Formats: sequence, C-alpha cells, structure tokens
Amino acid sequence: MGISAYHLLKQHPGATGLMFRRSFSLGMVYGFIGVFLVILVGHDQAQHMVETQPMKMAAAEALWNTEDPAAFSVFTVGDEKNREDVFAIRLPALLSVLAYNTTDAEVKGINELQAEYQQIYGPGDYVPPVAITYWSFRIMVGAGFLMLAITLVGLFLMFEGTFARRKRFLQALIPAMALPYIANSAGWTMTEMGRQPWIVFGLQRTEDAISPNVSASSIALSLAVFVAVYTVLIAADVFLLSKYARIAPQFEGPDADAPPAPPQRTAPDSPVLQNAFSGD
Amino acid sequence: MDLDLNSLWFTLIAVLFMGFFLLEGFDYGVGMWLPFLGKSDRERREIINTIGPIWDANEVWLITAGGAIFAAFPHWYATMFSGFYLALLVILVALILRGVAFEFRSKVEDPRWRAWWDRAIFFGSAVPALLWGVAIANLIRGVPIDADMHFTGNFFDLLSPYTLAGGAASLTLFLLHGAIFLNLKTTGAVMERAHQAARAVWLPTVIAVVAFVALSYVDTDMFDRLGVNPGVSAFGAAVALLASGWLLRERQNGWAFVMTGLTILLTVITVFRGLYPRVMVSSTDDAYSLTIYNASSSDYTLQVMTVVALTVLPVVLIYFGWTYWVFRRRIVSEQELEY
Repeated sequence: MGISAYHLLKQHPGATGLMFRRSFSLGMVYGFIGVFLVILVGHDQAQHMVETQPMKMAAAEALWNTEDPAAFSVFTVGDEKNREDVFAIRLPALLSVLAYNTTDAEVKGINELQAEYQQIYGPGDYVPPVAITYWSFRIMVGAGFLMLAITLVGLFLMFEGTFARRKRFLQALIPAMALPYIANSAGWTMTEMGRQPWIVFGLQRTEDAISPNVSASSIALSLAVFVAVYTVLIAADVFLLSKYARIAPQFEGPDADAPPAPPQRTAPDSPVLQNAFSGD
Repeated sequence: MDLDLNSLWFTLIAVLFMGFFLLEGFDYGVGMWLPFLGKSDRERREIINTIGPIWDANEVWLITAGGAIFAAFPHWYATMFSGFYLALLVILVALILRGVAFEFRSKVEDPRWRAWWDRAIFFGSAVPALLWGVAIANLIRGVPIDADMHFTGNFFDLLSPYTLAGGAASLTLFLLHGAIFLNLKTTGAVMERAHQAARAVWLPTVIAVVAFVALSYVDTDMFDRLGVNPGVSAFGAAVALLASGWLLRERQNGWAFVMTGLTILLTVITVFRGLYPRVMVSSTDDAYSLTIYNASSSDYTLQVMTVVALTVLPVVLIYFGWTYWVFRRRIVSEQELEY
C-alpha cells in the first residue's frame, strides 16, 4: 500500500496508473482483513496470557494492585520503585472485560502476584521491568489500531472512489510502511521483558539458562558482530528495496491502456545433463 | 550397533550430515571458484546461477541436522554449541554474508557493489569449507570436556596441526567436487576452465586427504576402534577419490562427480562409525565422553520425533528431488539469468 501510494502520488498515466490503483485497492482489502484478524488473535492471546502469566499482563497494564473490576490504562506515568501511579488515565472495568469478557472479574495486580510467587517459588523479585513492558505493549497495540484505522479510512475512500486523489492520505501511507515492523518489534520486546525473571515461566530462570562455559566477553563479541553485520545488511536491504520500489513498470504498444499480461519468461533450450555421462 | 531409538537418531543425524556435505560441498566449491573461473561479470553470473536455485535448500540439511541434534541429543547440542561458540559464530557470519550475496549481487549494476558481494561469496564459502573439516577433526580427536559435560577449552584449542589438516582435506575435497559440478552445469569457456581446475586440484586433494588420514592414525583412537582394516566405507572413499582422478582424465565428468560424491558420503559414514556410540569425545577422560545414551532426550521424545520424522521426511525428499529435476539443465550463455 505504501509503495502503491508513492506511485499514485506520481500520477502515472495509462496502464501503469491503473496497475497501482489496483494494487492499492488489493492492499487495502487484504490489509484490513489481516489487521482485523491479528487484533482478534492478539486479544485471544492476551486472555490466554492472563491465565498462564498474569504477572505479564499486570506489568503490561501497570496494574500495581488487584482490582475488581479492573481498569484499563490508556496512559500511565508510573513510579516503578514505589509501585504507584504518578499520573494515569484509566477506563474503569475495561481490563476485566478484555481479560474475562465480564465487568465483574478480578485481575491480579503486581503486588499480590509478587507475594504469591514468593510463596510458590521462594524469595526473590518476580516483577518484570514494568515501564518497558507497559510501553512496548502500548506501542504494539497502538500501531495495530493505527493500521486498522488506516485501512478503514482507505476502504471508505475506495468505495467513495476518491482514494487516488487524496494526497494527504497517500502521503501518510508512505511512513506508515514502518508500522508493522514497529508493532512486531514492540510486541516481541513486551513478551520477552514481561516474562522476566523467567526464561520458561515457572520452570527456569534466565540467570539459570546461561551457558556456564561461554564467557561474557564471547557473548559481547558475538552481539557486536551481529549488530555490525545486520546494520550493514539492513542498509543494503533498505537501499535495494527503495531502489526497486521506485521503479514503475512501463507498458508499451497499442494495448498500453489495457491491463498488462504477465511477462513471458522463456529461457532458450539448454542441453540437459544427458551428455555428462558419455564424455566429450 | 543396537537397534534402539538412540541409534536410529544417531544414524538419521549421520544421514543429514551426509546429505549436507554431499550437496553443500559442491556449492561451497562453486563459491570458492567464482573469482578464479569467472573472467567477466557475465561468466561470474553464470557460475552463481548454477547453484542459485538450490544452495539454500542444500543448507537446510545442516539446519535440520542441528535441529535433530537439539531434539534428540540436547546435551550434545549444549556442549557443542557452547563449546564451539566462537567457531560457530565465524561459520554463521560467513554463511549469512554468503547467502545474502547470492541474492543481492545482481540487483545493482555497479562493479564495486558486485566485487564486494563476490568477496562475500568467496570467503563465505572458503571459511566454512575449511572450518567444517576442523570441526569434524575435533569431533574425532576429542576436546576437553569435564564430568559435567562442559567444554573446558577455548577457541584456539580447536586449532591444531591435526584439525587444520582436517580443514585442508575438506577444503580441497569441496574444491574438487565443486569444479566438477561447475563443469557439468555450464557451457563454453567456463565449462572448459572448470574441467582444468578439477584436474589441477585433484592431486592436492589426494595429498590433503592422505595427510589427514595418516594424522588420524597417529592423533586419535579412531582406527584403534575400527581396527587395522578400517572397513568398507573407508576403503570405498579412497577408491572413489582415486577413481575420480582417472575419470577426469578420461573426461567422464558425470562419473567423476558420482565418485567425489561417494568419497564425501563414505567419509562421513567412516567418521560417524568411528564415533559411535559416542557423539562428543572427551580428551580429558573417556568416561566423560557424551554418548547417544547419556546425551539423549527422553524415550518418549524420541518416539514422538520418530513418528513425525518418518511421516514428513518422504514428502521433503520428494520436493527436494523435484527442485533438482526442474533445475537440471546447464546454464547457457544466451540465457536470462536470475541471480
């Protein structure tokens, strides 16, 4: 959609323009279906998470104390040390609805879970880094709903038949290409950080999962090498992707206004391996 | 050899490594020959296109072998991947750059861009081709492992004259295997150059392999275990390697390729026969060696994996064969190139 938007802004004439109008519409429909299903699956997973890893949900919502019904946090600036809100906007009872489909359900808070885990697993700190978990969760969900909004607006403009002329909307779609990557990375951060101090919840702590005979310097070295290699590869990749995304296909000939037929790829016949076993 | 699931999975992992070295062996070779046999950009692209559609499938044999080790023998996986951490990092970086290079190289016309990716393909092929031999030599000779299955050496313990001889053997063998493959998959000048390259590298390969085998007698317990007669597989490997030289001279390159392939397969079989039932030999004390019994996962895990593997494997092999059938033709110079 982002690439189609870029080319729609260029207002290519004829078959090229038609191709991008079609690719844009196709992207919009599939984008809406995809984002909608992802949000549903995400909701389902969150309900699963409340049961299996309630601490992660409590941290993702910065829910310090158990509430019944529990409020959903829209925006919280918290004090992680003292486990209290500095400033918060919360929608009452919404978290209970999201977690258990009912306004009257208890969602456990960080303090209660910490006490509970100390009884089960022995003394220790079982609270994940709340700020990182909270904000990565909000970035993921925010990016998801932003994509949903974009596809809804896009679908509306599509049925109105005006999307190819909506300059500001098309311009906004180009940076929006980053949203899936942002949502993905933030979601990954949230699920890993929210599980700490566990690497397998309830079974193995991260500190117990480290290879005892791989030194910290080896780990640091490999991390540095991977960062360097992937930085170079990302640069090369972005360069290639944008190079190819900028190219608009040109259709020539009398049928230039008609939708193009797929290009025929024919390689000339080449000798098969049959000669390989007979010598020259 | 006992007929139990542990032995079955040991055999399956051996088969995966056989497939990996047989197939990836020639595409490492092709990668190493690239700067020497391709005189023009067009010729270099023809060389890359001989393995373009298949190199990644070949590499999956390694990933599958790693996955099988992880699932069937988790202690083997833990000891090897932690112990060989930096060595495997080097291999991994080489493979990453090489894989990307095949895809990125032809996307930009600039000769400097292409020269950089050519270097990535060369080093990305040569480094693993060398280090796999080093790794296998280390597996045969044994590495310091304590009673807790922890590797107690460091990166430089893995490099010794013996293990480097193993590296030289695998490097030259893959060069020979790759040159013959290139000869079979190209036409014209590249085909002829590949043939000359294969003939030139045959004698160094024989010398490197003989040196490695001789050092194995001195440095490891492998042949004590196998006896003075190391068995059909070892002799078969030697005969096949010698035969490939004669077949190359007779220009029977298809058969020569079969022979280098047999050399690789029979060598891997010999190595795994020498290891069995151990998977990692401890040079500290043989009692600390990891075996297919003390390093395996539970019997139930092995049962489930056996059912899954035997169900899925035929399907994989069928589409694998299909890929090779689709891309069986030679690369000709008038052809439109993908890579």
